Amino acid sequence: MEGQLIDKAKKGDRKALEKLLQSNYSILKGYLIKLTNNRAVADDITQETMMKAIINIKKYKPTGKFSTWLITIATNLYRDMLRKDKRIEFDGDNIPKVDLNNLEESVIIKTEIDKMKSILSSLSEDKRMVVILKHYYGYSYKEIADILNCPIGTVRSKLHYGIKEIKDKMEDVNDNE
Amino acid sequence: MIMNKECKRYKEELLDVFYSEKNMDVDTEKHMSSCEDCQQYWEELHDMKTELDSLDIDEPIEYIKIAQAFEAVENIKGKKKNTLSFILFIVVSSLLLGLEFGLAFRGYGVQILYLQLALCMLSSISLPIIIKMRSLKEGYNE
Repeated sequence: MEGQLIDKAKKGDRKALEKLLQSNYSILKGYLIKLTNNRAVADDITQETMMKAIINIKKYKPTGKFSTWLITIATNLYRDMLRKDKRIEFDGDNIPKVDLNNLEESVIIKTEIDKMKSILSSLSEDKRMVVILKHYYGYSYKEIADILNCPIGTVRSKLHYGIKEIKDKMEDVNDNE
Repeated sequence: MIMNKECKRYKEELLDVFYSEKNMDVDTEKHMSSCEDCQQYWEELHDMKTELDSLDIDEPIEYIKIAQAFEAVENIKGKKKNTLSFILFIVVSSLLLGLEFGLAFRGYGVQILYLQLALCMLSSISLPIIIKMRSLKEGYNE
């Protein structure tokens, strides 16, 4: 199904490309929100990624999933943004709103999410990228290495140290509570 | 007593197993059954998964944003096309002007004036045709 849509999109079928972007929108946006921890920045990069995909669709060589290509573009755009020293600040917009009917439970959930968000955003960019791609999207080491343009061994060690850092910080937070 | 170094290696293996990079081999399974530290590590990985999963909020598809991306690309392409047309216009008009001056310099000034007069008359005759073609292109006839 995705392969057929890609073929059509590469031939200039706008509807097919629209469908591809629609079906991968949640993955792309979710990835960028987790990565940047800032909804406004995630919005900007999502838009730029889609524009780049529309412009370069004819050059796209489908070796993997379409989402992998989008995530590669988004990762490079984010890296460019960091290189240009654009400060990305935490805004906490992507926390679910508190449900007034179930206040206590909602507040607990919100606190838990806040805690995990701050732990995740405390990781270095590279480690965070690896952890997000592996944990939330289940990409293989090889796919992550292709996306981040680094050796498989580096991906494995970054995941290992990233997870260790998360576990240690979770323990620290739990000890302080 | 199992050494820490060995545990470190098994923990790396366990992380690969946890993230489906490989299946648990007999050796690791055997170690797990006898090492409390690694058993605890395995449990902690599952706890961490539950905690991390709380961040995985499903983002709704924003159809308008996708349409805006297409629109922005169309605008960029339009601007590029206009720039190319402008460059082409400058090049062609410079060539024609150069040709005119060249011919005038060689003594064909009168003929050029006649040609320009003829072109002026022709363009006024062809004006309704140009307007019609333009309106057809822009869809005003529908």
